[in-house]
Amino acid sequence: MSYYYRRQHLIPDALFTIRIKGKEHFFLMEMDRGTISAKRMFTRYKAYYDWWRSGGPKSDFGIASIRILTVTVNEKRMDNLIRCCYSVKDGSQGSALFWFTTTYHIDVFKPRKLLDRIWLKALPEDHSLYSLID
Amino acid sequence: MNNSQKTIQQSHNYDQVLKLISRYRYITIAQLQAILGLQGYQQARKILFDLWENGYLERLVLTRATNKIHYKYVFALSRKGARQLLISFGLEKISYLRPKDQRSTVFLEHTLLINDFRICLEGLQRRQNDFELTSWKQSKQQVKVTLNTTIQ
Repeated sequence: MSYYYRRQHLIPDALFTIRIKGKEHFFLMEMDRGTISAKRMFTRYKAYYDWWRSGGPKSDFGIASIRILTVTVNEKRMDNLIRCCYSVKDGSQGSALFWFTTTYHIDVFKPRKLLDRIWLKALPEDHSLYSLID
Repeated sequence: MNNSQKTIQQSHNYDQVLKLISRYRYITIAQLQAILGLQGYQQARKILFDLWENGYLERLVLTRATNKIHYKYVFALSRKGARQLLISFGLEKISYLRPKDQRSTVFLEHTLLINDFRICLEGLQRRQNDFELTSWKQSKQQVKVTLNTTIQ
């Protein structure tokens, strides 16, 4: 039986860096409009998780830590996507790599909302809301 | 230069607006209002309509049918607008929209949402001294994540 490596690519919607109070934070962002099936989204999140585990952020972008943000259309869809992320790791433990919010909080006239506690982590035991800079 | 073009260039620094639009590729009236910090929606509307009427922008209509039909205008740089950026700033290889180009609703809504997020980050940077958006990358080559998949 033979194995070979196939090099594939994922293209997130954006990669950005913010500096706040002198500290830098790196993010990949996915803007989800609910048009892709949950099964395909799981494959995508699993690929991101494996990429992160194998040191992808360092080799691709030269950075040590990163968060993967998903902004989606509504809370129901967000719950579905968070559940998808629970299974990326053995034992359905989820991962704090993935952060979620909804487009409701993205308001060009109220940009400060973006730093409010509007983000949920994909962790089954953690229902707290976090700020981007936590 | 005809009269309307003269008016346009006298009343606003429209070259800067064209440059700004080229960064986002697609822009709505509300987005321009937020970026420029304009008090009124009508001010932003006037800028975009002036530029569109003078051929610097193309205009698309984004429609959504729910109980009643909602629509909003989306503007993108035209060939003339791209040429203007080359003349004013020496900017080359600026992508622009041709009159017959169509963009799907899904594509436009997705792009506008990404732009909303970026505009929020840039707005934060303007309002908050200790906050800086140090980089924003969106092109495929810049954000590509490489996966090494084992295939049997």
